[in-house]
Amino acid sequence: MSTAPADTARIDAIAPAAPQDEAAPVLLADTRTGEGLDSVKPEPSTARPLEDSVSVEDSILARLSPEALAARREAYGARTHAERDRVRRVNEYVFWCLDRGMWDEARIHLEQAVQIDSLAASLHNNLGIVYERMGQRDEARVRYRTAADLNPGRPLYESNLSRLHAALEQPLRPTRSDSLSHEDLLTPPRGDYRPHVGATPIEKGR
Amino acid sequence: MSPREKNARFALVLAAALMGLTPTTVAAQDIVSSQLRQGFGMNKVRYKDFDWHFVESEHLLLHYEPEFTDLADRAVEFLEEGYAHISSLMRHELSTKPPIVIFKSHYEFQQTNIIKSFLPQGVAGFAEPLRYRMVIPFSGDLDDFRNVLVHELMHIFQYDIVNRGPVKRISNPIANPPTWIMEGLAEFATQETNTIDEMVLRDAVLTDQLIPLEIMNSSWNYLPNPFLAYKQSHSLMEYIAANFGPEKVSRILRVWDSQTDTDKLLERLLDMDMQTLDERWQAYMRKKYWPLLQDRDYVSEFATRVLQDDDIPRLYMAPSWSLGGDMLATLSTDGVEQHVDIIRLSNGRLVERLTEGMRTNVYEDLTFNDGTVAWAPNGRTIAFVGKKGAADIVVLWDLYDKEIVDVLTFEGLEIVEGLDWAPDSRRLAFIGTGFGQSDVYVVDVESGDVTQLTGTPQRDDQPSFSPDGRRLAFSSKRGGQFDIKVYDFDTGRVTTLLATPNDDLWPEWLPTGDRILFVSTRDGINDLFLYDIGENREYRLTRTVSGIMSPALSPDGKQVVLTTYYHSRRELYRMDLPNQAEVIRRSDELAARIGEPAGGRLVHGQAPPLALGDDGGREGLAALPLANLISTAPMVALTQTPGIRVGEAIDLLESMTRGSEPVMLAGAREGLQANVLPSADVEDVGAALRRDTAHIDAPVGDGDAIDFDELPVRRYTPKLEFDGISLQMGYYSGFLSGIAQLSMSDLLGNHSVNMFTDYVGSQEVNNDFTFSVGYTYFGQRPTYSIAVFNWNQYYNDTEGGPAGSGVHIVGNSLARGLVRSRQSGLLADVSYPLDVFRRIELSYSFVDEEREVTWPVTELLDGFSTHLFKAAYVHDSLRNGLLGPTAGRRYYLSAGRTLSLAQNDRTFTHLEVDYRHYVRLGRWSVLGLRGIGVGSLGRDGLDYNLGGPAWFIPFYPGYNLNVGPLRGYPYSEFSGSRVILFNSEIRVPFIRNITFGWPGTFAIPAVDGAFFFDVGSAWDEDQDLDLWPLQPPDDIYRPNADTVRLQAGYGFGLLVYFLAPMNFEFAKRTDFKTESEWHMHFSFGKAF
Repeated sequence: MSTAPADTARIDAIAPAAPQDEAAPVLLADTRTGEGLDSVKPEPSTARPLEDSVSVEDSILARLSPEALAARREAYGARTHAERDRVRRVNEYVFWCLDRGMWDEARIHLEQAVQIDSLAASLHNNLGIVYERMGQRDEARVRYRTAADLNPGRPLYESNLSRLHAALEQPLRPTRSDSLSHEDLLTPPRGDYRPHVGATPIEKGR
Repeated sequence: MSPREKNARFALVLAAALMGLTPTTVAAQDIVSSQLRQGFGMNKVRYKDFDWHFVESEHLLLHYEPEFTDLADRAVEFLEEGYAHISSLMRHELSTKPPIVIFKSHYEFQQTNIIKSFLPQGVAGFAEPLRYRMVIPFSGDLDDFRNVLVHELMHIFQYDIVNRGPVKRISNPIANPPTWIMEGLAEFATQETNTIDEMVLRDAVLTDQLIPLEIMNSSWNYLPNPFLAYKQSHSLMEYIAANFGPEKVSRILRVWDSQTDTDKLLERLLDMDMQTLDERWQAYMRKKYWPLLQDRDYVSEFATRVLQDDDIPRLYMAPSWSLGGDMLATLSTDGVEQHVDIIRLSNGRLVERLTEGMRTNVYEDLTFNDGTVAWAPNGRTIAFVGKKGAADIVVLWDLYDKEIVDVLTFEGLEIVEGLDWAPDSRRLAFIGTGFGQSDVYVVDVESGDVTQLTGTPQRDDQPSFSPDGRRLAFSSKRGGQFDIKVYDFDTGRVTTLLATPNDDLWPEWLPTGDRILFVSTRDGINDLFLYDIGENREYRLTRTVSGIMSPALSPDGKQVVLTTYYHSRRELYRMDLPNQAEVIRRSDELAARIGEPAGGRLVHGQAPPLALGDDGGREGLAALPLANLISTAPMVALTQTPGIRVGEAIDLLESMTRGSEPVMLAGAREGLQANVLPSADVEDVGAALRRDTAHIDAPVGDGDAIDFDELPVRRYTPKLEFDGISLQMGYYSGFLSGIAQLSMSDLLGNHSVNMFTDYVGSQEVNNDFTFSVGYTYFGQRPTYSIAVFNWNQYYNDTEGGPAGSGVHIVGNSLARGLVRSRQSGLLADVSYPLDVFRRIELSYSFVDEEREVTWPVTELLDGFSTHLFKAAYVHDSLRNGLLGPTAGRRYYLSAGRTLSLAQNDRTFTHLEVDYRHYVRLGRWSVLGLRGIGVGSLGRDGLDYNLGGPAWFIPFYPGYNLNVGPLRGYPYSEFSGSRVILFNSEIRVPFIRNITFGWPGTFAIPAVDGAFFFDVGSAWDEDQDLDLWPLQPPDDIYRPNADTVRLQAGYGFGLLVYFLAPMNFEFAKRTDFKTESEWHMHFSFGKAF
């Protein structure tokens, strides 16, 4: 159980994966889309749009062969600094929205961002959190699973998935995570499962 | 003080000299020191080298540039029509042909030199009574242009009737009629009231906000809602014309000529006093508008107010939705500052402010208009319009980075508005005004390529991309009314989509692409409608009391934010956009209220011209008779609806654009291709802007067209004419003074000559001749001015002079001698504005000074010369209120050095820094901070003064270099060649706009309270300054002490604006240990 202050924990919960978690010296051409949120071009990304398979039970990556999945993990770790920076900025904006309780705004930006940076595990994870908060738990589970598949080295994503499964009353033991405990953040209120991520508006008291 | 007021400043110096005419102890250093004083103020930047020509028609002289000859052609027709109309109405012919100057944009209009002061955004034009000059910019809409021309022309008629010719005196002895009469008549002459005008007037009637006529009559300049005052005045004139006959309107000014009291004027004209007229007019207005409440809704009945911040009322415009629908980006103003804000919809609170300051290096000001903020569909980029130099720019602000990421400029376009993003967030549509007309453009924000889509002189407005980005709907004015047209990017053609007998405005495409939300001015009130393209049917969504403007549809198409006018404020409301079944139900319910048939209206009049093109096999539409395609035909509900499925709507629209043969609008002149406009798919905007004049609409009006080409056109050559002459005579204590002042300028105000002469006669003075002649050239970006002068100043001989004590024996009594200080020389200044807020000043001054005792003996005291070179950098971005600055900062850096060419030449170095910053505390309160340091170093350093209040002291007999307020001490108690001073002051509003009914009706627009603290000191080269401890309050000031301390004072004041700013201040001296008694100061002028 984390003893981090709630605010810190909240940010950690949605924060992008730390660079060291993502580092891997493998380059794959099809992951270098070069497309950022600031330059949406009509040409489709060379990466397969993962959104197509959002209805898959466990992961958007579930249809991939083990080799393809491994290649994507390598590509995930090999993303450029600029690509990671784009993800960071999206996530910062998402924090900004969540701090103000603007879940729809956060969701739509994350959905848009994963269309472009489909290998960014943190985007999937954060989108999962937003979905979960909005009651779309099936979609949330898919996003957590995808995040965990893309970056199995970060316990956070598996932890979220486990906790969600637990919340869905599936006897799945949560994975221990030293980096973050979402039980603190997403504890379902009695009788109504609604996580509390980022629900503290900064306008409070105005 | 701006450089354009240099001459005025020089005149002020001379006027100050006149004040010092009475024998006093004024130091004779005023001209040199006046050249050293700082001058603040914003710049009127002359960005363009204008090429003026003028054309002479039957009744006027129109000045224009050949690059917008088409606009000049229109202006002549509008003016001659207006002349005929006003002449008939007022039964008067002008005594001379008024010179009229038109500009093709407001930003060029701001560069006019006919008025030297800075012209803010809200000024639509002006007329002046001295030389009957009218100056009008083109705003982008020909009808608005015509209205302003006629409005100002009416003012020229008014001046001619009241003054019987151009006023040639600076001080006009004839009392001007009340402004409500002047402006009401001018509005009446335009004969046009649009739905926005009606909206404002209707709101005032229904919310009991009408301004009493008595208040308008006495306090026009201080009214909180001047726009309403214009509309009321207009309505009053209409009421008089309708109820007492139009001849009463034409007689008003003639009656005024003999009876310059409004009550008596109305008694004589209408046989009733002002109050009775007001009561009857208000009753008429209530009868007119109150019945609307029976079958119309308040917007608050079906929509939710967006903003909740009643504590600081703000005005919001140009709302634009965020991607997720949680926020709005909008322009906002609290009357002092303007910003682009992001508002959270759920609570109406500000969540982000895009604009840290109103004025930045990127843009000088925000353009406050509808459609000047647009949130891109990518959710990340917000575009807004700012002003930079002489044109608008589009600023792109990134939501993730929270900073400006790009700026778009458009060569040849001055005004940019009506922003709308394409779904790809790459193309941005906008309305650009340049070359004397406004058209639809699209810019690729990545490449910067600009494409012009339309090109007609008539107004296009409010573009809206279709959801697939292949079409652009926009409102377009033809024959004086707005229709909704669609531009097809595939074919490059424009097709009329909606053309009802009313204005159809603000199209917004629903996400499904088959319906368009729009505003229409049915029954004279703006309401919201939905046009179903597939059904070719429109549905009314609202039937409001107040009216609706600029609806903004949410990205999911389920909500609308709309603007309405309620309680004299623009307000944003949010409403749900119902589904189709609810739309039909609501439309039927609204129709039933007034007995109209249910089922919406079949807009057959706007049916696509399929008979002329590919009908796609749609028999229903193809079978419509061509007559029904005439867009201005009255709408009649048909019993049979063309059987088009909703899903076919897009195909239908495509077929509409393919059916591209021209359809003539009813009332248009022969050969006019009204619904098919040329496209201009070129990257070269300059080439694209060459217009095909074959597509110019016919001018409005029934008179014979004026052939512009037949009129004599000449290039403008400047000729100096008198602006005014002033003659004054005065006598004081044995001195007889005759003053003559004369100013001349050319018609455009680029060349200005001022002459001033003063002759003083007394038994003690002879050979007195004071004069100055100054010339200033404003025609280029730098302003040049030069002046020569010979200036005599008299004062009592207290210095003694070489002859002794200065006391003389005259007859049997002792008398002080009379000393004349004669200064003659030359002043030359150049001021170069870097932009509106910053400028560099260079000056050279040569002053030869001679002092002599003129009475009772003639005796030369001394003589010396000064060659002074000075450079200064001035920054001023203040917002000013009635009582002082309200926001912003200003500073001034100056360095000067004398040149010693002869033994008697003065030598000193001048250094000065003056920094002022004003921090807003809430809406009205402000914290003012000021620090100043002045040094006049060297053998002949000048003396500066310190002490007392900030500004003009009544009855203070002289001109001196008081650096600033050091309250608690007598005025100018301290002096020295070096001064430092720090002031801090909190100004808090006490009263705004209080009106008194006795004695007489008058208003006090503002009363502020102030709390201040001042600390500073003045000392000389041979003295030391001790910063601590402070000078004890009761210590006597010793100007020659070896050490000088800082003096401090604090206190409070009451700042009252009544005709002019007046300051009542109470201060104590302090050294933080002891303090003095209260000292009271009274002064005129704005706070520092």
